[in-house]
Amino acid sequence: MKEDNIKNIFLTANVHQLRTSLSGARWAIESVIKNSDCVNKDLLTEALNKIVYSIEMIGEILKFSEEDFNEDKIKLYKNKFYLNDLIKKIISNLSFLAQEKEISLDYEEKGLFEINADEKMIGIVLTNIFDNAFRYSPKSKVFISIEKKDSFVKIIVKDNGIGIDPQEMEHISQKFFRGKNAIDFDPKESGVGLYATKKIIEMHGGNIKISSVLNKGTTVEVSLPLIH
Amino acid sequence: MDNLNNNLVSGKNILIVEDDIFINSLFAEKLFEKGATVFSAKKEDDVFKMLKTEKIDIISLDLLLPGTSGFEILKKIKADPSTKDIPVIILSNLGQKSDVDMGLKLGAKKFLIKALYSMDELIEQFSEVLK
Repeated sequence: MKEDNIKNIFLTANVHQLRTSLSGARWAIESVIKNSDCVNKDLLTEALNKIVYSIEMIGEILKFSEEDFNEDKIKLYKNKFYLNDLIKKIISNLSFLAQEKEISLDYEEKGLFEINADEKMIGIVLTNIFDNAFRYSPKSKVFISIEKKDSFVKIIVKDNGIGIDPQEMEHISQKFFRGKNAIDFDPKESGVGLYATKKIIEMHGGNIKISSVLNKGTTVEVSLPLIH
Repeated sequence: MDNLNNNLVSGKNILIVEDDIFINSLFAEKLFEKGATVFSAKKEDDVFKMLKTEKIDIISLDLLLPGTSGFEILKKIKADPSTKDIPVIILSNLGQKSDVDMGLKLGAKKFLIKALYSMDELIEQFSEVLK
């Protein structure tokens, strides 16, 4: 069903983060227990058991989900809606992040745009793009605009942030890639998001263009077909 | 007490390619306790620098790495005649079937999900490959 498809897209990233944290905890406690000076061995052993159990539970969850992000398995459930409304909703959802990063946001609508698309998927895609703009350009301006371009609506997100190294541009929508700049800036975020974003846009007959200058900023342009 | 059968890491040079500092230090410490000499790297340049200057017996390779992917590094290791015969074990916390298939196809000896093993169990796995 629709909900499962959305969960699957971001399952990979979350599973990895969970497993990494739990591995660290597991091995740390194992090290302490093996130490002959260890006090409270019983308590620590119990803690270790609970961690191993948690790891096993992740495995169980994965068993009942589609493991691979595979576009053949993803179904789009389209409806007609106004892109303007969706974007305003996302901006509102991200207002906490914008505040935290001290972002000054400029939003311009050059028209009213109705599209026929999977509203939830497009919502996830745009949230991912806006989130990136806010997260990697703190204390600066972000411009978001929507305009008509031939038979498409173009969403432009321009930030003045850390940018992307031109040598890495080719790779950024590969499944696991995270640019060096992004790693230095926020090591905890995984790289699966942009890969999924690109796939979803292309499945709608749209395209995504990213241009960037290192330490100056990034512009992301998403085009989606308008209803004729 | 070590069962000699499953601790063949003693005296070996092991290269750990791992992004997470905490995990890296825990595993390195354990390998060191078991008598191995441990080298660590997380960036591609450092990996190949180490491979040039040290005689590495086995490589532990993570997949999610800064600025590159473990698969890219694995391809390069296998493409270079001076490194292609060094056994590589992929140690990742991702484990989708397509990743495992890719890793083994590219020449890794094993694909292990870190979270599923205690460090002692990992050392048994490494020893199996070193046999």
